[in-house]
Amino acid sequence: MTPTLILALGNPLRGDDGIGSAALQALKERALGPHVELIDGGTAGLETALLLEGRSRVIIVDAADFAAKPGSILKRDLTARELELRPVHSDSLHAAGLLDALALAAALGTFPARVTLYGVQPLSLDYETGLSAEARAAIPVLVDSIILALDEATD
Amino acid sequence: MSNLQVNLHHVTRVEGHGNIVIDVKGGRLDTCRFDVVETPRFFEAMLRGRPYQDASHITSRICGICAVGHATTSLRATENALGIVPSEQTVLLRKLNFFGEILDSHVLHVMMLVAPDLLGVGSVIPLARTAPTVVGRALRMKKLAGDLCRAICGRHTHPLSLTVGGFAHFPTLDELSDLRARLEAMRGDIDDTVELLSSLTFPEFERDTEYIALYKPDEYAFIDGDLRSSDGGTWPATEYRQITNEHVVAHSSAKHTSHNRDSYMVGALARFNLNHEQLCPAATLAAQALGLKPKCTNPYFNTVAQLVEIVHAAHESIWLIDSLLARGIQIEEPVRPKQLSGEGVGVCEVPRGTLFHRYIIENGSIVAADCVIPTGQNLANIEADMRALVPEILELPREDIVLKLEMLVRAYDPCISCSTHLVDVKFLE
Repeated sequence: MTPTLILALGNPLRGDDGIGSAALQALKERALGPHVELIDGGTAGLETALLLEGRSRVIIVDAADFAAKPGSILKRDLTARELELRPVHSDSLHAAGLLDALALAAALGTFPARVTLYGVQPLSLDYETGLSAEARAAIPVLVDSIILALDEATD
Repeated sequence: MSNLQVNLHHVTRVEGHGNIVIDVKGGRLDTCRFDVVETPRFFEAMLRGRPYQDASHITSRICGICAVGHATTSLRATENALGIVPSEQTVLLRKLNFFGEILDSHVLHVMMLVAPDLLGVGSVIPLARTAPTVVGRALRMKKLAGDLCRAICGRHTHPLSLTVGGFAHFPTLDELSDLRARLEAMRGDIDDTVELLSSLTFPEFERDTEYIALYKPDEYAFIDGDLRSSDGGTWPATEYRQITNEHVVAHSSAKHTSHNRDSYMVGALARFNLNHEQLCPAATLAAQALGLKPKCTNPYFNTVAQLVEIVHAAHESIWLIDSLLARGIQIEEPVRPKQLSGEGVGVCEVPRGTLFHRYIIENGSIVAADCVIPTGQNLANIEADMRALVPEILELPREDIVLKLEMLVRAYDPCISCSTHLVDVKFLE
């Protein structure tokens, strides 16, 4: 079986946009077993669609603005249908963004059976390295929640 | 239609922000502009005071699509300034790296940005629904191009291992053999793409202009060479300012250029028109199959010329890998500078056309820099095309006029963010 993919996205040079990359580092220190693959996708382009091909389970970790308190975690399953229906242009920092790549996979018919987005509300996306205290504090909770979700998936 | 106003804010499927403004009054074309509204980037000023080793890393940030092109042009300018002659292996590896970028950029433009227009859909996402094989093919080809770059320079966007005088990292023979096998396997995808594009109809429009490209006697030039014009004449790259004659215009944050006429064109079509005899046999056959004949004066065919270059780059990459495998990869130290002060010009044919970097270096620090970007050189020509095209299509429905204009701008594959930089500012005393 193709391993579950945990895909971190974001640019560590833009403050809290580095949350995905930092969470991936924290996940690497935990025993996740052979059925999990970790990839730092950086600033995702349309080729991200290729990473999804042939997978049944994908977990995406990225900064996400959902107008919550900085450091809040959003967990949401994404469906092929909702992605195909959304307007094409996004305001993402990553030119053609994650949602465009996912919509492309949906249109190509390669969208995995289950895709879960873990979004962390950023405090700042300024030109700086390092996370805000709020984003940093979210990492242990985020990692535990992802590991719990992985256990569910293998049940 | 005797009166027409088009104010198309933000042309889509191009890199950066540009607006098309057309005003026709009583059948007469009053205003015709391609406004570039992108913020200037000030890269040349950023280089001043920096050590020469930093220049390629800073300037590769000018563009996320042709980062290898900027880095290579920058290294050639620095090397020419400091009397460095790179080794044969460096020249081969840089060329292979460059082909990876040509493939990546051209596949993106031909198959993801232009194909939706030709197949009658709004973007690559509906295209994936109606023609999943085309999009799947494009993604596979782009992935291979990216992997090719990664093997040589560490990563495609903002390369790491390209350095003054050579490389800081070398691909293994296994990596090269694997890439060779994948390039061989990609031939089917390329043939299918040529077949698809030869069955599609491009807008009919002819306007002769001056075409400018680099020329080398022994190969279809991408890195180094002399400047050649379709109006006649060859100049050494160091004389590039005789060609570019940059000047500021009110409606664009990118400077315009002109040489023999009011405007000139750079890019795949210009290269094809000037250097078609040097294409590899497979690329020549592809050009024939696609109906591309020199001298082609239809700017919409720039996309077709890019596909011909995809064929060329794929075949030449296989040939380059074969030579590298035969020679073996030597772990070489970069060539050291002969002197730490000097002036140098670097020139390359990056995906969108001729790119110039010129540096003045004193005691190892850059004191002056000039970068002239392909899209900037094409802006005046795009406007001249629009001025000639609008009267020809005035009888069409408005949405068709707008689509034809957008497709014209897109045909040049403009990279607007790259081309906006220093605009002279004068203070009144």
